[in-house]
Amino acid sequence: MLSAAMVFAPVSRGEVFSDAAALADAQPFAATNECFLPVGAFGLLQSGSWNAAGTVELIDQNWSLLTGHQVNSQPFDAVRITFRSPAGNSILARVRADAIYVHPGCSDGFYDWGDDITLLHLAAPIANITPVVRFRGVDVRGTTYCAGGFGCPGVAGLVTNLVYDGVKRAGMSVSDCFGGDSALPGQGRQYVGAEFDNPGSWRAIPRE
Amino acid sequence: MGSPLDSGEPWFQNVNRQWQLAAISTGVYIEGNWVLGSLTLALRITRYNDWIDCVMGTLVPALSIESVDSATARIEWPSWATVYSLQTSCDVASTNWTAVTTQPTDDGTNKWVFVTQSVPTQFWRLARQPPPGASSTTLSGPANALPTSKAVVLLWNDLLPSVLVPESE
Repeated sequence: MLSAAMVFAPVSRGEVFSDAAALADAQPFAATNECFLPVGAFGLLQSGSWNAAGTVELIDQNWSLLTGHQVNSQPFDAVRITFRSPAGNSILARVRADAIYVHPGCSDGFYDWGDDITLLHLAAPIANITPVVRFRGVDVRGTTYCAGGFGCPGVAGLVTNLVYDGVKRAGMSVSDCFGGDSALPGQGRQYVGAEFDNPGSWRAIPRE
Repeated sequence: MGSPLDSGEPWFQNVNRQWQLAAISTGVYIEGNWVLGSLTLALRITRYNDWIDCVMGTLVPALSIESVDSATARIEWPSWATVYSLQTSCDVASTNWTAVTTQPTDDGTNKWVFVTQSVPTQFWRLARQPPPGASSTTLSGPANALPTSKAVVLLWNDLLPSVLVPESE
């Protein structure tokens, strides 16, 4: 989940995909570098040090999206977001936020954060990265998703084996549950759920 | 068991060869308890697009009014307009609007309050609130203008419903 002290490391392996359309045809659920460029690292300034606190998406030149508990669960003095090149060895953009909008429905409970979503207004626009496009269609059970970010490749379910190493990875999975399923907290109408199996569905983000 | 994702991690879905942001990781859940790993849950973006657009200033909420009886009216606006609050004035051109302190009822789709007659003509509007800080931060906030919705006016003698008065957006 949250990485207390994420370090950045270059992606050490990957595949080359030069044409997004060809890739989509060959591997319809594989994402491209272009897809993951606006996926960045979220940092908190705490006691004079910047600590990693999850993943963030650029949705507009001036706005980024993340969860509410990433900013509500711990004190901090400032926040910033960082976007790196696909290989991870150069910073494409790094900017602080000057306003934080946590959804008022975001709760403090660890088991169910409610409307766990937050917007950051950036202190300066980011012009060299194309923002993600938000899906505005109809959610369908059984959709295949490609997740990309600073997730953990360790053995799932075992807290002691989790290793958040700061490498941006991608994984694919079909949704297993959907908002409104009775097993979800509060009926969880805001949720979609999936198991991103380890390690078969995971790979490093492909290099350019 | 699945690999644990990172908080805020995007879930993309392929729409006509374009990868679109459909959800963001929020936590993991298994057999009634949340644990690290296993089933990852993500918030569906489609449920929050209006809220996101509203906060970003690209979607300004509309305000509606309807009479309940000769002295009572119901004023309603969308629930996603969380960065707006209801104000009232007797003069639509006034620069000194007063916040309506009545806590609105919220069913998740709409918010509403009931208002009673105090003056012959009364205006209401939604005004965007200054950006908040969060936790321990003292952030300066964006310097963009704070929009307001169009005002609605109620002439108590006629109980005219939903009369829109053009105003700044």
